[in-house]
Amino acid sequence: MFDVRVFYKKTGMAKYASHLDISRLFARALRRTKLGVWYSQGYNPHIYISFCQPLPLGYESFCESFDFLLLNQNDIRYVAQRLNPCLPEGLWVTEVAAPVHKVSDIAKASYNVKMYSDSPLQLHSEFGQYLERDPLVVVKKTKRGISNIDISPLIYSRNLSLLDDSVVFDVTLPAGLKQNLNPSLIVDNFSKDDHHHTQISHIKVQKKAMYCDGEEIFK
Amino acid sequence: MMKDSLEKILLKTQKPAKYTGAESGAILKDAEDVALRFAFCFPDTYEIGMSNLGLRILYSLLNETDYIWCERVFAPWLDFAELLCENDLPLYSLESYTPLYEFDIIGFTLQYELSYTNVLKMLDMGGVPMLARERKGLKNLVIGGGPCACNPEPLCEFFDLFVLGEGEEVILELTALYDTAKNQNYSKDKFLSQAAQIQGVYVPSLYIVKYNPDGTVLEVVPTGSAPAKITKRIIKNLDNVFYPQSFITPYVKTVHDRAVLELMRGCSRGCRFCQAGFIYRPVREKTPNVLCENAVKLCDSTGYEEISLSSLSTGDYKDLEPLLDKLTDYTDANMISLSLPSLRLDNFSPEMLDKVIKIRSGSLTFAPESGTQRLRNVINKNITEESITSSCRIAFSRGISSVKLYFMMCLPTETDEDILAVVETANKTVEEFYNTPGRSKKPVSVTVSAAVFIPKPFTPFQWHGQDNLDEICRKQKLLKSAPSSRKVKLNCHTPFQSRIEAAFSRGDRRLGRVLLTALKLGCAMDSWDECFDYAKWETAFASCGLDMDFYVCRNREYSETLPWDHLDFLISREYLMRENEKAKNSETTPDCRSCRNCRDNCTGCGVKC
Repeated sequence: MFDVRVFYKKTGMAKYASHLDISRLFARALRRTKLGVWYSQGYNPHIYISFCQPLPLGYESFCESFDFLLLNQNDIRYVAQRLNPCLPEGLWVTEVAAPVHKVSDIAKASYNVKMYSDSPLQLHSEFGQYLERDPLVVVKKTKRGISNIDISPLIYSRNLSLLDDSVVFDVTLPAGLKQNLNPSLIVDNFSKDDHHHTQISHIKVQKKAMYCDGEEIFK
Repeated sequence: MMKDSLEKILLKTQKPAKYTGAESGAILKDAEDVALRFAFCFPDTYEIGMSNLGLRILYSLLNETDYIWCERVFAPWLDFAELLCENDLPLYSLESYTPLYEFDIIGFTLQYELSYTNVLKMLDMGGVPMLARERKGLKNLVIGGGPCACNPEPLCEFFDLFVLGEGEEVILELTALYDTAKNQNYSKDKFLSQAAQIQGVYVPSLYIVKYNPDGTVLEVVPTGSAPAKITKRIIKNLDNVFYPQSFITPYVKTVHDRAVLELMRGCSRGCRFCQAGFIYRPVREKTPNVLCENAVKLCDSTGYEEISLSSLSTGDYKDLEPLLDKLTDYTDANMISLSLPSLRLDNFSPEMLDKVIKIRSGSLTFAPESGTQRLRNVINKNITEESITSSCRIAFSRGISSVKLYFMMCLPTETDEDILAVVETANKTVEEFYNTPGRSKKPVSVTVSAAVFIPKPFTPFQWHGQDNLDEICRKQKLLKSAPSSRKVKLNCHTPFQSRIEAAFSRGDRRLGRVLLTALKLGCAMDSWDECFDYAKWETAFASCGLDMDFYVCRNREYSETLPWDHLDFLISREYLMRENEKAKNSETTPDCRSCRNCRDNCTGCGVKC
């Protein structure tokens, strides 16, 4: 058995598919490739497939990945070419290789957030001011309840730019098993904040890359 | 444009992937390249619609035809329907996000009566006038098919035509005629009168219904050259009929998310309450070779990990054993699981049972339908208590500990004794478990599901009224009060939905007004308990001046003209009457196929098979 890591893009309408939907889809796509794939040995054998980190519903991503096991190491070079014709529009395998890092090595991710508004100029200035706050306290709902956290030290890098119909927010945030922060949480908290008047009609988020500690790209 | 607007609202809904299309296997064409755009509408949620085999067959069939692009439209769940409405967005197709009003033909599959309000709501949301007479041109031709088309009378005001029987051939004849009509600028009337000449096509506007003073139907008169009787279509040889080589594999989990093989159509057992047992006759089977070919193609193209064998009664499939042998060779090698719904275990050899149980771990389902042998004879469910017990015993000895038992209540001639016997049967099943050597260590669970009998057209019970509401409630109370083992779980269906189903299944054209009124009162998604609002339906009937009990509870005379009498499903009326009379005397009729080599068992049902 040989560990294989598949990197893929999730764009377009495919972004509305949930994590579970995607996992079911790749299991079926792998069956269609007819490659020797390792199955769990239980009463109902199923393809062993493991995703590193669930992508929030509605995010596009250029750096998604999952791991599975091949029976024959030589088959690794066929994986991308056979998988891609089996995928619906919006999903595309970009790279297939033996894993370099452990999934637990993932530390941060960079995002591109497009916030649409009728008055982008005002949004640009208000959102900019909001990010300047120190501490920048956001309310986070988890399974354990509601907590207030200061995220100002968690924003590793950021940039705001102005477009005709929107404000673009490029940001790098902690991602991974230990700590995870989604950019939509910042936008949601901003929208609920009383000091602002600009309405964000909707946002589009793209996950650009995942990093290990330091600047090393997750491979 | 539509796509951009959708992007603003999709994340506000539960499971947006139901509304985005773009699934693996969805067919995309260029709208400029096709002459005819067909919207296949399923009047319920995506999860239910995508599980429907008819949709999968007709979708592939129409899309294999070059000049047609068939797209799917489902009923959005309440939250998304509201979002579309708030944002002034029309209901659209999943393939190209095209509003419903832009389609040439809008085809609905009519699977159950409780989806009728959804049909109207979908048209309305799609910007299509609901009433057929308000759609003047050929565009937006609204057509219907499926089991409920055997009495489509309550829907006649809304539909331009119905297709009776199996659709694979007639749909292509109809689209070809439509294509010609469109090219040559036919008027809608000219098209409809020509369509009525195609066997199996029922154009309701060409028939005038006259009523008696008491509200019953006097006669249905054809106009122009429309045939007096419209005969359903059947496919003669199932091995040669079109079958999809691929299915769409949905993103979201649907009710049945698996490859499906259609073993056979029709059932010859003749259970007297079962509409499917009559309207799909004659029995026709596919050969194991063709089925295995279908299986390999479907699984190779979809990656499905499960194959389900579909038919009305899988145990009656002549070559089940060789088929399973052949199929399991393939499925075992490819890590595919097999599932066998609709299996009657009463005619199984112990060896066969063993095989089946190996396939179906977990729970087993039996449908004794009623608690006493007398009543089972009345409904012609030719299954004995001994065969149920022995099947259970074998299942229990092979480690199965959970059994579901399906019953029907409020059947003709039913007494309180019959009701109490339902619980007794369940109790005995629990006892059987503890008496079985080698049973599972897990605790036994027996789930009883008791549905309310709904008289349906083209069955021997089509003349029977349903019990009135008080009587149904009394019987359900009686059932619940019967002493039962703690291992028995009892589920009763609500009588209210059954009443609406009963009204519409044997209704006439006047019920169209009730439907419209109910829709205006806010009725939709009526098959969902959380949406169904009986009070609104009562109001709708009352405000149309119609008595629900006239449709639901009234016993009809043999001499009465039934609203569907001008539709011919090949089942002879005399045969149905004979069966109904035999039922009154608890007389059974053997399965005409039980003796395969002789014709002695022919029941004279009218289908010349």
